[in-house]
Parts: sequence; C-alpha cells; structure tokens
Amino acid sequence: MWNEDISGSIAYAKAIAQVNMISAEELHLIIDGLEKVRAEWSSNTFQLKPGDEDIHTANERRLTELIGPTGGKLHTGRSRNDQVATDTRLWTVKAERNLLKDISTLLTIGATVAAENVDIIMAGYTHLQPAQPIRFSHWLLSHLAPIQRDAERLREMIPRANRCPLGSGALAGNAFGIDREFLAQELNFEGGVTSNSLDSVCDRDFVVEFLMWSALLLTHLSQFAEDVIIMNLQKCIIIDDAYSTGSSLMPQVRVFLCISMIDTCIKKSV
Amino acid sequence: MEKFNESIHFDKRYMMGINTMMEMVHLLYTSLLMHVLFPPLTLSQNVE
Repeated sequence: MWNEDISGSIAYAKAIAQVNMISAEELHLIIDGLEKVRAEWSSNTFQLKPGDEDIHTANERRLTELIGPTGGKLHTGRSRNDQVATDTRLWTVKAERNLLKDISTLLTIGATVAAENVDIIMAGYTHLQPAQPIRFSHWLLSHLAPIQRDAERLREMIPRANRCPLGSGALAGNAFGIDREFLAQELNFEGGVTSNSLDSVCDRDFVVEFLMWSALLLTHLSQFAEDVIIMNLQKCIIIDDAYSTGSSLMPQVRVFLCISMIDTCIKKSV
Repeated sequence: MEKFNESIHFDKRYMMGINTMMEMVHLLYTSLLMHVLFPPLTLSQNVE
C-alpha cells in the first residue's frame, strides 16, 4: 500500500499548508520528496531499514533523508491510525472498482457465449444423473446469475468504503482545523468524510464486508468450475483434448488445466 | 525489519487473496472469450 500511503501524505501536506502549518516552499519540497519515494518503490529500489516499523515510518524516514527536517513536519497532527485507515480504504475501493469492471466483462462475455450457442441442447442433471433436456445457454446463464448478484452487492458496498477517515488523528480528530472535505476530494473519496473520529480509526467493517463478499464470489466461481468438470466427466459438455493436458503417468487422464486452476486457486483463496 | 514484516502481514494476505480472485476472474473471462472453454465446434459435435 505504499502508493496509497504516498497519495494520502501528499493530500495531507496540502491540507496542512492551507492552515499555514507549512509554507508553500515546504509543501513543494515535501511533494517532490514524496514523488521521489514513490519512484523508488515503483522501480523496486526502495531500501527498507531495520528501524522501519511499518510502511508509514519507512516512507517518512526516507522522505526526511531526501529533503531534510522539513520531512518531519508532514506528520503534524497526523497519526498512523489515520494513515492505516486511509490507505486501506483507498486500496480497497480501487480493488473493488477493478473487480466490478472485471465482473462486468465476465458477464458480458458469458452472455455472448450463451447467445451464440442458444440452439445447443444438453442434458440437465439432478443428483448427478441426466434428468431433463435444457439449453446450454440456460445452464451457462445459471452460473452467471449468481455472479450478477455479486456485482450488485459489490456496487452497494463501494460507497461504504469510499469515505475519507483522514484527519481523525489518533482518535480525537485534528487540532489544527484542517479541511477534511478537501482531503476527501483530493483523494477521490466520493462519499465525503467519515463522521466520527473514534470510529474512523477503528472501523475495518469495509474489509470484513469485502472479504465476506469475496468468499461468496469465489464460491460461485468454484461452483461453476466444478460443474464444468463434472459435466465433462458425464460427457454432457465435451471439452476438446486440444484444451487439456495429459498425465505423464496416466495417459488416459485428461486435465482441464484452466478450469482446474480456477477451482484449485479459488478453494485456496477461500 | 521484523517489525515491518509483522506490520504488513495482514495487508499481504488481504491483498494477495484479492489479487488471486481478480486473476481468476480474468482467467475465466479470457477462457470464455478465447473459446478455450466451450470451443464452438466441440459443442456442435455434442449435439450431433
């Protein structure tokens, strides 16, 4: 989360400059220094030192090395509690947005495959036995429907994570009268600011919510992958050998690597 | 360094878990898009 930590620090430097805790020159110095720290992380040249307790102290230590004592002024009125909460929210919202985009792509492509194959009929199974004829598209869409619900849930979750806690201090707020609405705007927290400083530094509900949501999405993806494997075993859906690998010891065994990987990785992640 | 590693322990697991999930979603839609999953010809043969 070094990137989010640096973005949060740049926004905070601007906020303390607005209330004259640092001068315009010092602000420029701090922003330039932080961009250099960011470049070091990006190019994998950032050197951690034994005294670095976490990402926040590591960045601030490096900033002070680069620009001198002015770097220490960045922490005026700010707590690491502030930073942890802000960085985690920034990272989470970005990840949630990326996932929403990816899931929308998955749904669109899945719907296209279903439409292209609407005339394909297959056996619908119950209790692992062929039961009734159904369309392939019907079966495929039955796996996209839960993922569509996941997308809806994710869309509802984002606004709860997308609120700015920066300016809450260690627990009792900021004594220098910084503009928290400005911080929210600078960091693109579209939901504005969090309402209670004590709660703001403690709240990790958005992480728990995201993880619960993830467990459900992964379960749906795993369900899909497993169903493909079972349907293939039952010769209901035939996946061409060209798309599978063999076993060196057991030539009769075909492994559908892509779908098996999805299934295995998902179970590990859950 | 030990303290640093301890401090990022949860973050690492959290971020890795979420990133793996993103990769799986990518893999799934790419497989569908590239017809690795459900190649059209194989599906038609199945009907026959």
